[in-house]
Amino acid sequence: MADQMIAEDLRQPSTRPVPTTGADVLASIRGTSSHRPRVDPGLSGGLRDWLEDGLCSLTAGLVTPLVVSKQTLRDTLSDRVDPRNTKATITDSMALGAVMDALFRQLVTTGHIDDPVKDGIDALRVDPRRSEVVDFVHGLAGQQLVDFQNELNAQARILLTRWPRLSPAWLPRTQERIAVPLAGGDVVLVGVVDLIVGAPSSGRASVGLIELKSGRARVEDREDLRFYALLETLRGGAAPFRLATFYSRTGEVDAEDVDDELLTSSVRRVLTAIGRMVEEG
Amino acid sequence: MVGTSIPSTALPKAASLTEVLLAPSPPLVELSELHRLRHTFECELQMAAGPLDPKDRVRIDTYRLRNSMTGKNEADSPFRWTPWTARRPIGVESVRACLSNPRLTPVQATHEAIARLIRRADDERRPDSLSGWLAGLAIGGRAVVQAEAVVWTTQLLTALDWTKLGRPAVGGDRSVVVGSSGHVLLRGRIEVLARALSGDGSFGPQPVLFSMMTGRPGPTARAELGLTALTVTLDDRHSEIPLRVIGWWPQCGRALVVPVDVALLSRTCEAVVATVRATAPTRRPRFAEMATRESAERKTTRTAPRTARKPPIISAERVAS
Repeated sequence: MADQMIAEDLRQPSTRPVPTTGADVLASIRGTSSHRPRVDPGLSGGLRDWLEDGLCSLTAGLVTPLVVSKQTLRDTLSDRVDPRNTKATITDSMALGAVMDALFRQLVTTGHIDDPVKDGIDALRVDPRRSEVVDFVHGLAGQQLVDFQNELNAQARILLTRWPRLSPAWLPRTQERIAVPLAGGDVVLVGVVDLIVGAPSSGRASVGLIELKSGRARVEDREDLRFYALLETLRGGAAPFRLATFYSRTGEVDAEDVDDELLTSSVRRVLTAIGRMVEEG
Repeated sequence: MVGTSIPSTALPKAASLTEVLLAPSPPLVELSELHRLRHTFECELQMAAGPLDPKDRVRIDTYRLRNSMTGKNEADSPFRWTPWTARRPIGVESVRACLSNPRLTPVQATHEAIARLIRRADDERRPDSLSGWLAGLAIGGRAVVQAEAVVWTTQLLTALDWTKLGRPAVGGDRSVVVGSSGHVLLRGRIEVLARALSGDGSFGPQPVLFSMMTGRPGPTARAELGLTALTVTLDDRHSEIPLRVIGWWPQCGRALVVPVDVALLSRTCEAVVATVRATAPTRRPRFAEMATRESAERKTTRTAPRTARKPPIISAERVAS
């Protein structure tokens, strides 16, 4: 129910979503447990072949390897920027997203968050690749700092009250990296999934992918997860059964089942984006 | 990647990987061939490492081998613990714990492993560097370390069908000092060492190796796996030649199955010698550099083993995707 409601909301952004409880979130992630489709043994190979065929005509003259992430797909398809020539400047919302990702990871792994601001920054500080975010937050002052801390504390509170405790038997793992080389390694599809649950498939779809978003719900959020569903299918040989986005700003969840149509639309989207990247040189 | 022998449609992948890992096979390397290869390797290493200061020791691990083969001659940055580098030692301990107690999950096992390491830092006057580093982290930092270790542990636990492996050794990395001069230390990274099945279905004496790798297989993957096999082969404490080594890249779901034969070992020896040779000139006075290099190269050419001079025949590799 909650899924349908939120899916409608995504089509009509003016409708205010209703926050979900921990039990609802869990139910959204699980979906209908009786609906775990049998893995189509030819699907993964078929999707790969489709991508390889499509890339065959595109990759000539490409500066390789072309690394394609959810962000490059978004940017290319929305004509926002040339993703290859842009070094993102840290903004408040990006810093908030990075800290919330770290807190989500901590909550899933350890089951608790003590001090959202301190824990989040300590988590980023230990990773040398996140030093820019740490510097950005340390550079905040005055009202900007107060606003940042207030928003972070509010979202952490929602996370703590709404996010369910997952059974360790679900094998939850956070920020798992996926890298799928195609066209002999000239193109690499990459992703870092916020949370993956479920053991690898042994015949039935068994894996769920979950993303945390600290911003407003956007239609592209679903496309991000569908891209990750494609990566997981190519990597594991089996499609995931469920995709879910948890919005820490509101506590809402948007979830959907994975089917063949979802994966094939993702293949088309990837090929379209790469085609544009090649056109634009 | 070509020569797929593990069907990509076979699920679970762990069953296919385990089956290929343990498959019975006759030994591919005769002892006499190994003795010859070893002798030649030691001679070449001695020449390559000759210019080194007697106190120096070159450590060849997969990282250094890869960099040398791909022409990355960056100066080694000092090792430091990060969640990324800490995940393997914590993960190895956690996998062992999960195997000895099947009710334990990666989240619980990593939590206990980290707690143990931190206690060690408190209890011991001179704790190891990982314990000391972990003890100095705040809660948020430790959570990242644990989260990375959970991913690593889950990837290894779900990579193989452990019920079929007999009594595997988890995380038995090997270090071997080669040659009498002691200049060169080979370091082989092994996630799992098991025994291949013999014809009657029981476990035989021959080791088979499983390495879990990062990223995706690159052009140096075979040599990296060869280094692991070579290290086990040259380890006098055990005197055993592995049958095969499997590299597993969980990030892309690919495996590379490499039979350990003379061609693999000799090609890996060549790569190690080239790496040592590339390292040695940077550590001696510049005035001596050119003359010594020329001299070393002449000697190398003259004494190169037959196997090294002609292109080795490598049996088709078996790759899963």
